[in-house]
Amino acid sequence: MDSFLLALPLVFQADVLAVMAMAAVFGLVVGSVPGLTATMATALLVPLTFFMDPVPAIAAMVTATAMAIFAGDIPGALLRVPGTPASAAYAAEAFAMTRKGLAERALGTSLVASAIGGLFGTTVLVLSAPQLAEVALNFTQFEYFWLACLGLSCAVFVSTASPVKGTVSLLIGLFLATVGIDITAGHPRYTFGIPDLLGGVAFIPAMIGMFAVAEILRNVVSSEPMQPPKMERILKVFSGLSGVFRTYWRGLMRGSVLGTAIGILPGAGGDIAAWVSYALSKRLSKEPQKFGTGHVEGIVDAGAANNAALSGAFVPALVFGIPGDSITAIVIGVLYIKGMNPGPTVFLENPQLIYGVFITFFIANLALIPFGFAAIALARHILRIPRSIVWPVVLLFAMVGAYAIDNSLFGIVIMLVIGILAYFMEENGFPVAPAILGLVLGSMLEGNFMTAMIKADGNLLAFFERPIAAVLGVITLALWATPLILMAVRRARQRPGVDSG
Amino acid sequence: MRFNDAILGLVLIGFALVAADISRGFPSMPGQEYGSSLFPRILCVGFAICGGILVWSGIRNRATQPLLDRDPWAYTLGGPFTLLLVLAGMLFYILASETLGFIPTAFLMVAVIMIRLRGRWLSSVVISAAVTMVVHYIFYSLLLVPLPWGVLEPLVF
Repeated sequence: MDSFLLALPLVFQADVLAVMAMAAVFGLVVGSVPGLTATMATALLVPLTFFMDPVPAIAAMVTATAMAIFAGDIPGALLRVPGTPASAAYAAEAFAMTRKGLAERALGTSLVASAIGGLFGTTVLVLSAPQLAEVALNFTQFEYFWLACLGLSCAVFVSTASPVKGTVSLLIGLFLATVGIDITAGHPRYTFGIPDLLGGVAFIPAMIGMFAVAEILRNVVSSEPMQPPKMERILKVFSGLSGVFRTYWRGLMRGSVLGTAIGILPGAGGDIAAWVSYALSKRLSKEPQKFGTGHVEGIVDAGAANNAALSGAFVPALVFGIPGDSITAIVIGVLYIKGMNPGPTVFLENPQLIYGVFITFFIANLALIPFGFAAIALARHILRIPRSIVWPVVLLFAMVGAYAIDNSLFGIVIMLVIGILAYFMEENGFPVAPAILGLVLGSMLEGNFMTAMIKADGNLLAFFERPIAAVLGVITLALWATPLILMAVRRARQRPGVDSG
Repeated sequence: MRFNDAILGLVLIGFALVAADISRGFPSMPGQEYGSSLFPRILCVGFAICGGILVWSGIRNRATQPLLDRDPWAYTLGGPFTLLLVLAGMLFYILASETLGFIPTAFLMVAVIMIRLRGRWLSSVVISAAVTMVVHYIFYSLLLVPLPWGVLEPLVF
């Protein structure tokens, strides 16, 4: 409680609130322009937050992403083009509602569901994180090693259809993290005599390359999408909503719980939460035949789920320092750079910082209602910004951002190289999220691994001697074995079929 | 540009071999058989295994997966030109911004790309100039990032 009171003045300062308001506007604009994702909003914001204290820095990123995830619903409902991947699950449904003349209902529902889902996820975060941190204080290198392995493995298996390509992406991230002065022996690795690489591949430029440059390269070659049609002014967003939520309150709870749970799982974020809860809503609905025809029920579930997932993803990130998705990976990376190593010790040493972050989560989700309403009212104008203007501007922001971290052109070089790499990876079906997780966690994973190896004197069995480490280790190994077992089972099933046919 | 998995797999295996070879120069820890090279080598083994699986799947799916599959835009002249122009713009900025200064370099880069994407000269030039000044204001004046002045040194504000 004391730390909560100490945290209040950290947040309720004019400049922190002003930063949050600006981040909110930024997140809403980025989220509602199709092609600019919530992750990109975070990536472009990082160079600015780099110059702030930890609490306003995280507050800005949390606010911008919460706004961007909701704002993705606006073009989804009005143009059938989801603004962010997290809105893709129900963009068709929301657009069908718009064609029935129910655009207000669709957007109002997703706005309020987003805020409630976000508040629910935040409550879970606030209640569970300090308890988990107590447990985590007893962890040694062995537990952290397995925890990082488990998180990274989940990211690989969840984020992509091809576990092999997901693994390659993860390995690329981990390999990039080995570049620079090595932590155990102090020997430069893979620097090729370039002094700028001694400190490693700078995280922020690499991340901007992955999420902004790759996206720019992909988009400038595609032809400009058709101009949005003339849109009516949308103002009566909140009318009739109480009826919607009275009818579908179960879906709202279901989406919030499911979204938070999926967010906590490493590797899965808002987009997967939205898909899963939309599908579940349809399966459990009394009127599944209405889904897809402009029915509000699925939007309640999925709209709550993607914002809940955003808060849920911060549980493993803040407690263990192990991010669950790209957005938390970026936030964790920034905290490392600021010298505030996320993990259970922060809860002991600087609890007011953690509580400050919690408070900003609540403010961000509450502010979603007025800011989101303004964005809906202005949607006609935001959606008319031509993307041929947006991309060069994003490019300039990305380049100056990459430069600003060290005031060095080498940051832009890293951004360019990683951006081209990420472009080729995505073109060829390699997801980039595991790579960014690998880059953030690489040195922590290697550090824990090497320390554990020294402690155990090279005896690999020591990795299983402590109970929690053993459980985490067995789960991780089982996860690695699953695709092999599935492959074997598929083979065994195919064979009799081939023989008889 | 999508390559057949077998080609990607071969690239990965080649990369693993080179990286593992370089890692032989890393020192081991005193009194231990392993050291700085252990972790990179584990990653190299991972790259090689994944590469092998990709080669295998690429050969198996060779009927449906061409060696190189290009998007429709790649067959036009304009698409690759735009892509090269964006990359060239970034290279131009990296090479020229220190001597020419941020404002002229950034303006040229944004304006050329915007004109290419929109096809309208006057408004693109005006928008690019405004964007350059806004970005300069945010980063130079507010965040105190020392963006280079270059040829505009006499006008420093």
